[in-house]
Amino acid sequence: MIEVENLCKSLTLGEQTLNILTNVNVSVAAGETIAIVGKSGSGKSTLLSLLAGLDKASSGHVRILGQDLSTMNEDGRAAVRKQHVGFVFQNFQLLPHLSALDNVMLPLELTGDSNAKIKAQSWLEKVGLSERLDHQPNQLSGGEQQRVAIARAFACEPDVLFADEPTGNLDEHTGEKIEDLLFDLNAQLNTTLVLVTHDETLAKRCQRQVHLIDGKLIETVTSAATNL
Amino acid sequence: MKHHQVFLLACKHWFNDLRSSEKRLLIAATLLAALSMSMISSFSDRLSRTMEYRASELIAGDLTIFSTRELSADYLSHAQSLGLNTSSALGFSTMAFANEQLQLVRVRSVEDNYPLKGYNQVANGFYADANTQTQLIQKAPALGYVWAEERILQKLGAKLGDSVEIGNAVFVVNKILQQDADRSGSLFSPFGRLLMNYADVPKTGVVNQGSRIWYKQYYTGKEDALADFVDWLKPQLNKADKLAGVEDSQNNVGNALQKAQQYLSLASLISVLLAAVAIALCAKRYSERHYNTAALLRCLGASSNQVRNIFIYKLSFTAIVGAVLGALLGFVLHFALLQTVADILPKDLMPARILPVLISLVCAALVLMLVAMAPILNLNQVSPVRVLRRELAPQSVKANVFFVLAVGIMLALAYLLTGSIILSVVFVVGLAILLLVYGVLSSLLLKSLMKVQRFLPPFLRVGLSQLERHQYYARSQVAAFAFIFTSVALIWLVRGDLFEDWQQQVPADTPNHFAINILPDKKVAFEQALSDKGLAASEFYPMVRGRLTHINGVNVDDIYPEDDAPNALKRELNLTWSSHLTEDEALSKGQWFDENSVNENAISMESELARRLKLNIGDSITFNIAGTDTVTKVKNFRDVKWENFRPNFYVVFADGVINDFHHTYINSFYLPPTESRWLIEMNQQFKAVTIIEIDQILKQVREILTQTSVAVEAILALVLICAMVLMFATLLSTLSLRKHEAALYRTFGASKSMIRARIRSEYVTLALVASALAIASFESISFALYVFIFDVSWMPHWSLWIGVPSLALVSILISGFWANRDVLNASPRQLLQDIS
Repeated sequence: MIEVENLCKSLTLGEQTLNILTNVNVSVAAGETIAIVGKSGSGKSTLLSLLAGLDKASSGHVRILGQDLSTMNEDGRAAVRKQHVGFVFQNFQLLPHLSALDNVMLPLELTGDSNAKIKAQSWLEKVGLSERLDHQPNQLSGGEQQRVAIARAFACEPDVLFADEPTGNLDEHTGEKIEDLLFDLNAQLNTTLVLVTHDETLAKRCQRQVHLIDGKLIETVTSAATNL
Repeated sequence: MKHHQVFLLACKHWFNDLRSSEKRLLIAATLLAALSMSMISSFSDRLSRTMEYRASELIAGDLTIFSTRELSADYLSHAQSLGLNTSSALGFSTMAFANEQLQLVRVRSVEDNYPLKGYNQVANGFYADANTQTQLIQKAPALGYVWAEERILQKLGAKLGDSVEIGNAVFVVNKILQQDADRSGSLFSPFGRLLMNYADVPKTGVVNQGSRIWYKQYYTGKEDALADFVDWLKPQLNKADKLAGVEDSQNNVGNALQKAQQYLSLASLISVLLAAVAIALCAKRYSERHYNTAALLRCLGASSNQVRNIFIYKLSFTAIVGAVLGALLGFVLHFALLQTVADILPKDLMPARILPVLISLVCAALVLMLVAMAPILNLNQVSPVRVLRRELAPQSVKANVFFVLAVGIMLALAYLLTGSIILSVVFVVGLAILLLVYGVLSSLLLKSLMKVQRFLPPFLRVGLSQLERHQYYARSQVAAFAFIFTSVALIWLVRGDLFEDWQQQVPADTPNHFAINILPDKKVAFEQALSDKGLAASEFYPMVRGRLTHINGVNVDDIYPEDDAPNALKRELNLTWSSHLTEDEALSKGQWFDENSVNENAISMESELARRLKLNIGDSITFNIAGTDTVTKVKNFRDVKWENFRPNFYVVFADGVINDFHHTYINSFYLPPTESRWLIEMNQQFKAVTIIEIDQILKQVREILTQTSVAVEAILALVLICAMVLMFATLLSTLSLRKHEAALYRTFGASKSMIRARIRSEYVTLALVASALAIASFESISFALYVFIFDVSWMPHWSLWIGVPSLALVSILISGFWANRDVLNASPRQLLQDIS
């Protein structure tokens, strides 16, 4: 599903070159769940942004379903994201002026789906928010907002779901519920899940964990735990 | 995603986004720009068309042709074939005879359909008679009847219903002519006017070969047909034929009205500019607030074109809603404005047109689109990575094209509103320079204040340190506020000057009567009679009639072929002498008379006539007075205020040069209308004196000035509203920054009152610094205007030195605390949530 080959990302600050990612190589199979684990500043979010085609690598290749993102321009990568990718963010990234329903409809509308409203309603029901369709994000709790974000992420039934610290802004109890929801839906749809976190417990719910230290992928652990 | 789906998505987002303060301000600013343009242009369109119509009433048609030779009948037939209405007139001077008395009269004979426009004002008795009733009628005298001015009848000792002989025919005078529909001709002619039917002229036998006759044709009709007629006519006209439209008709109020319309247009333009600056500020903040939306849309797979289109559609909806609402509201408000001044407006006001509304709508929408386009296009540059890293801001797009287009549309607007290319360019370029200067000056001012801050009171120090922390915003806020206050102060100043100018023109005791033909031996007695009655009278000016015959020894007939000569050379001029300038005159060139002036027969020429005759100081001018040639030398040129309702003269001689010629005196005085019966006594006591009353003309002037003043006040109010919106937009531009700070302060334990005090200090400092800049630039501009353009002495405007800071403090504090009410009232948790 995802193949990463000699991926590098560096930034030039004045005369200094800062290497954020160095020669990262990893493959993710279809339906696999993988956690990218590392401390703050280790390059996790940068790796996620490159895997999802949000940013361009300095060198190396990222392929999603065989399509090489590194040879595409931003609009080409956007088209790949639209077709195959879903996102869940730490800070939810809901549009404040839209209702829960409209937020979930957004990716469906971007793909030109004529049943956007029905699908969005159905997904909100699945995440337990059928009574909150018309609520705006500021009328929802953190956990509810993340449920809306998860409904939005799965609404297009993506091949790959990228989750960036999905429970990072939530308390432990709510976090656990969100984790359960995320992994449940993922299992139902057999979506490939790439999860970025510094939370080892959350990481262990994934089939594989890759560790990033100072921009280098230094080990790969296959977890005994299942995502259940 | 298909294009129509992008459109629908943009629609949905636009509606959902209506609650945002930036969107509302953008709509408000566009609405105000459209409202201001629509209200003023609809109002002035109707007013100017009505004025044009009324001006055409003053010449009794839309178009006239005047000639001292017979006019071609082809003119009439061609005009009629184009569907125009026509009417002919013929005029001559002749003697009228009644009661054994002879009197020279100016006859205008007119066809039955005269006047094509306007009215003849007639009365059924003498002015002083309490039972006299005035009537406006749109017809000519019937066959066998004439209408005569009161002074003719008084000279002839006749009354209404009496017969007068003109040439071989006898006519009955059945109406007193107070005002002829065609007002052309001198008010101060010593001979009265008489109106008769055109068909009666042959039986008088007065018009023969060689008689001094003038011919006139009047035309009215639709604008297109008139334009076609003029195009056809111009090549056909003989040299003697003078074509005149309403634009050529001069009246006392023309100047004041023109100034007022220019003022309205400029004020309207300023309100549009204030709205445009508000739009620019709002659009920047609106764009910044949507970086996250753009990033998320990109992240979810929208292409850059789709993101751009979504935001351009949203901007277009804002433009359309703001512009349509504003233009319609402006159109409705122009009715309200007309309604409030209905009593003083003409009853037959021209109907409203949709064109000014449409133009305003399109212009306001274009202003928003062009000014806001650059910040909106920035959204297209937002990287999708921003969903992970909020600090990523897009690179600003190059906005030169839109800037040039925005300046272009401003120029077009300025031209549309002022009708002058030079004024438009000066205005727009001047404004751009002003804004640039404000940017630099505000930066310098803030830096210098920082250096001396230890000498300032504590609250100003706090305010300054707040401003220093956000230098970029502080600079633009100071510049924006200074611009607002300078604009308002300038509009205020010009308004005051206009009102003063108009009040001076027709003060309450403006003379409403002229007395002419006062013989020298009656002068003292007449003066005494006025003084006994307690009337304020103007000076008594001696008047000698003479014809200008030679310039530098060359006969004027040789310089100007008969048909090209200025009017002043075609008729006898009223000449006077004086040893001093009156308060309404000013020397424009040369020296005033001295002790040698009598010996060199010095004269003073009115500067406009001198320009038309291409005269220089020292030129010799010959006048023929009572058959005697008097050679004079031009000593100086004088500017004359013609619209002051006092006797004015083209040529003033040095005292002693023409004093020995037969002369009479002229003066003007104010007689309350309730005292008009006193004129009967005066007529009996001073039989030779002719008294002309001009109450009607004065009333008309006052009415027009009053209605214009109301319009000026209305536009001032509109400018103030636009200024408030801009002020709000300016204050909102730092709202998120302020929220962030307040959230942190509150979290660390600062009380609401402490935050309120900090905000107050900052706004007070901002108001004072912006006021200082506004006063400095306002005084510089007014100095330049007064000294270099109006050529009048300049004085600092002390009232504004107090007024501007007071206005600044009150308005900035009120709108500032209103804009910041969330910052002060919300809990720290809410604030932190908002900024996250």
